[in-house]
Amino acid sequence: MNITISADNTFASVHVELQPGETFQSESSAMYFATSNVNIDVSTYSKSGKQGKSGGIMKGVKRLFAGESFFLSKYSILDDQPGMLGIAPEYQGAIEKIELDGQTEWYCTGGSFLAATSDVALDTRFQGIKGFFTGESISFLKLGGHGTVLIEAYGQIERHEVQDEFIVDTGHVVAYSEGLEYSATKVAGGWFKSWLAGEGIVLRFRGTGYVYTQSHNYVGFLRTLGPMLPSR
Amino acid sequence: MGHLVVQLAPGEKFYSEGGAMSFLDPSVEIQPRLLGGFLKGIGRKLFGGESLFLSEYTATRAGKVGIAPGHLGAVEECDLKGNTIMLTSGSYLAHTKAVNLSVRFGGLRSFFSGEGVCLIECSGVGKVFFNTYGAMVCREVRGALTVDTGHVVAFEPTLDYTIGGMGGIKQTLFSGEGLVMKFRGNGKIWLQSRTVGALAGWLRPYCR
Repeated sequence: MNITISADNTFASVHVELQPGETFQSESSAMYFATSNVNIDVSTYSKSGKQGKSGGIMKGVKRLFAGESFFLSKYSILDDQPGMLGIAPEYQGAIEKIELDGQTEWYCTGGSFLAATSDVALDTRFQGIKGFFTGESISFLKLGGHGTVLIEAYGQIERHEVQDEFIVDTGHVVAYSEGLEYSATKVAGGWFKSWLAGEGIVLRFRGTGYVYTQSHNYVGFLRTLGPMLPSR
Repeated sequence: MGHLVVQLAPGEKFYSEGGAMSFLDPSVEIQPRLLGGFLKGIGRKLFGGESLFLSEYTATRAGKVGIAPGHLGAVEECDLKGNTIMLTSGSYLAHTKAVNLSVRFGGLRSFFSGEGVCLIECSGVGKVFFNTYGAMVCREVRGALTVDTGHVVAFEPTLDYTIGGMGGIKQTLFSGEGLVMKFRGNGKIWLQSRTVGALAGWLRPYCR
C-alpha cells in the first residue's frame, strides 16, 4: 500500500494505491476518484472480527457526537490488479499522516479524522462536562491499533512536542496522543463571560506527548458566514 | 492561488468568461460577447443550460489584463494544436483567438453529473485556460476511472462517461458518494480536489 499526500497543502488530498487483498477505510463521501477495480463497502462495522471494534449502530451514533460520519467507507480491490483511490476533505486545508505503533492511542477532535488503514480501530471517548465548554465536539474519536491515520485540518497543520504543559486555543486542536490530558481554563476575563461566549477558554494540555494543531478555526468563520446566507 | 496576467501586443485579442476580469490597462478594450449568438443563448437559457457570456479584450496598444476565476484553486493552461478538450461548464476561464468553443449538451445523464448540463468543447489552435475549486489533479485514464460527481474539470474526448451508483443500492445510498461518473476509454482527465457542493454541505449546519 502506498499513501501519498498531495503537494498542495491548501486543498490537500490523499492518493492511496492498494494492492489486491489490501483494504482501506475513510469517513463516508471522502472518495473523489477511484480506479474501476476499487470496491466501496459501507457500514458501521457491525461485523465480528477486527472491524467489530468500530462497529454497531451505537458506535455509529457515538461517532456523530464526535463530529464524524455515521457510516464508514471501506475500500477493497475487486480483481488481481493494483488500484488507486483519491480521498479529499470537504473544506480547505492540509492533511497529515500519523503512524500508530500499536502502543500509543490518539485522539482526534470532531471532524478531523479523514481516513486510515483497516487495522486501525476507531472508538469514541466522551469528553465529560468540559466537552461542552471546549468549543470542540462533545466526543473525540479514539484511534488505536497498528497502522496509518490521516487527519484533516482547516488551514495548516503543525505538530508540537509537549514535555510538560502546552496551551491551545479552542477550535485549533486536531489530534493529540494519549500521554496527554487537558483541561479547559480561562485565559482572561470572568468565568461567566467566558462560559457564555466560549471565548477566552483555552485547552491546557499536561503530560508528555504530541499535539497537532490547525492554523485556523472554522467555527468562528462559519458562525459569521452562516447567518449571512439566505435561510433554507 | 491561480489567476492569469495576460500581456497583449497591439491588435491582439483575448477572451475570458464574463465577469472574470480583475484589472485592465486603459489601452485594452473590453466587449461582451455571447457564445453562439443571441438566439442560441436564449435557447440555452430556457433549456436550463449555460449561456456563455464571454468578454473579448482587444489591445489598442500593448497592455495587460488580469483574469481571475471565481474560486480559490488552480488554473491550468492547455495548448491545443488541432486537438479537442472538453470542459465542464464552470471550469472554463479564458482562451486565445483561434480556439473554437462550442457548448455541448451533456445528455440526460448530465443532469446528475453535478457538473452542470453543458460541456464546453474547445478545439482549434491556441491556448485554453480552465480553473478548479481546490487543487488540480491530472490523471491518465487507461480503460476506466470512477470519479465522484462534481470533481471533474476537463477531459479528452477519447473518454466517455456514464452515471451510476458506486456498487449496489446500499453503497449508493449510504456511502455518502451518491452518484458517480464512470469514465471509459483512454485519455487524460483533470479533477479538482474540492467541490462547492461539499463546501455548501459543510456550511449548512451553520445557516439559519
